[in-house]
Amino acid sequence: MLRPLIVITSALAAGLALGWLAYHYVAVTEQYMRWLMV
Amino acid sequence: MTVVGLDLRYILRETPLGYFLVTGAGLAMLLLCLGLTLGALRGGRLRRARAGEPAGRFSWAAELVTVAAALLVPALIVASVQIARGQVHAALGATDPSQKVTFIARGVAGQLNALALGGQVLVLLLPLAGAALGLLLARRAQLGGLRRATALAASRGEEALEVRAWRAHPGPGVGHLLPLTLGAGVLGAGLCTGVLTWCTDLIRSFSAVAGVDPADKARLLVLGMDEARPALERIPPVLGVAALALAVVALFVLDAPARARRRIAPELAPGLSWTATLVGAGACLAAAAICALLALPYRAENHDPLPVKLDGGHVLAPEPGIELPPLEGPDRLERAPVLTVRSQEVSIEGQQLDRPARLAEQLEVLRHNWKLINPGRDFPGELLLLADHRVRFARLAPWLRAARGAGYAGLALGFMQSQTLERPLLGRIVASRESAARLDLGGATPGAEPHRFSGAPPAGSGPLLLEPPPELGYDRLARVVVQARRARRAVTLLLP
Repeated sequence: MLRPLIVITSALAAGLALGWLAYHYVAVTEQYMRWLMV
Repeated sequence: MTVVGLDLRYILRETPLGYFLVTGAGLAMLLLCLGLTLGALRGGRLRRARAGEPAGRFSWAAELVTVAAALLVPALIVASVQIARGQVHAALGATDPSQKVTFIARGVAGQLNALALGGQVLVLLLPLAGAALGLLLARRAQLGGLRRATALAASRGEEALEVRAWRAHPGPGVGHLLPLTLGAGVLGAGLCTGVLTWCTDLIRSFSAVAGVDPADKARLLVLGMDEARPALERIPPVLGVAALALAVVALFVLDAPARARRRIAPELAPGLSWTATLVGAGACLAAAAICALLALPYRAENHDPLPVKLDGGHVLAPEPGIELPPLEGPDRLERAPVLTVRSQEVSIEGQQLDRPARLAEQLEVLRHNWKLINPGRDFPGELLLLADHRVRFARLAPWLRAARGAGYAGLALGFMQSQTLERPLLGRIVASRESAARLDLGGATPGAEPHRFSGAPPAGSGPLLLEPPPELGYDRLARVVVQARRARRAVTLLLP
């Protein structure tokens, strides 16, 4: 159980980090919209 | 053609690499269908291997094609968004203000369109990629297990417990892997759905303000952004919990064949070797670290939103060769005919004037036009003054007198202050803040306290009557008007 736990936890970390990157990459578009108005 | 309430043809035209994105989506869809077909075909070979044929090996080509197809559209989306962001950055170098605004608007619309278009495609593609990959990997894992059983049988005989265990449970099957990879694909599709909802709302608010008065534009856009935001902010908690649940399920499901083998042959080693464990975990952690590092500047940008004033939009375009007094007025800057006074040149709405009588004529025309466009409304009769801080009152007075004679009794002194912001991702941004200080042009006002600029302005809260001497500089006049308006006093400028 330990070895699958290590692999799956790492895979989860990779998935969450990828999602986190995608979220912030997309969300920064709003800053560009605000930039249009400053 | 309309998709999710958006005109697809317009979006394609306004999206950098829009046609590549659509073609790439079609190609990715075909490749994923190919991956699914190959995964299904692997089933036949697996059955033959179970029946005793040599197990052999599957080529990695099908997995590579499937992964490449799944990455093609996200790569095109990123390329498209980067081009659009590049347009916004490039716009800063443009000298023509209207061209600059067009470039920035196109860059922002390009980003939203690329995300909306790509999001729609990925909602379908990611679950499909998950299904194809699950099918392919399950069949590969089981064929590997059968190969291992054959290898063990050569040394220990077919009846050995290990061989029977590997033959009965060669690895995670389609029933184990497919729900997990499909689940991961659905999680990705969930992220895309959130992004799509957010983008669609923003595109709607972005296009809805296209014809709106610039003074209201900023306020409406900020309102639109604030209303759209929850769709985006729901993504991290919802998907985080869903991913955690999927990981817990994966832990039990993926290890199930190894546990079943050990029930038959308890002396069998765990299904994963330490080498495979460490290589897999290392690769995943390295990918996590790279993603986290890449996300840091974006996160920094998002956590410190750019300041946007809600009470003012863009009315003024920067005027070359003019230095406005470095003041911030308490009044809102409204759209009105702009009278620009430099030491050498005077213009109304960008049109150069040679004498005050010409100003009166032009203002008459502007008033006539205003009344045609706004029938039944009272004419505001206000003028916006952008004057160089070095000009003297004597230079201003004849023009202001002409304006008053033409029925323009209100005067807004316009100010624009620039502030430089250093941003983590966007770099150096120059933010300009517009403001005004309002006064009346006219004769003596009953009860007003006169101020002749020979001493300090009179204290009090009532109306103030300014009687500036001809040699008074505009910067000093403007400062007194701003001070009085901050104290909420009505100001009248007495014209000689």
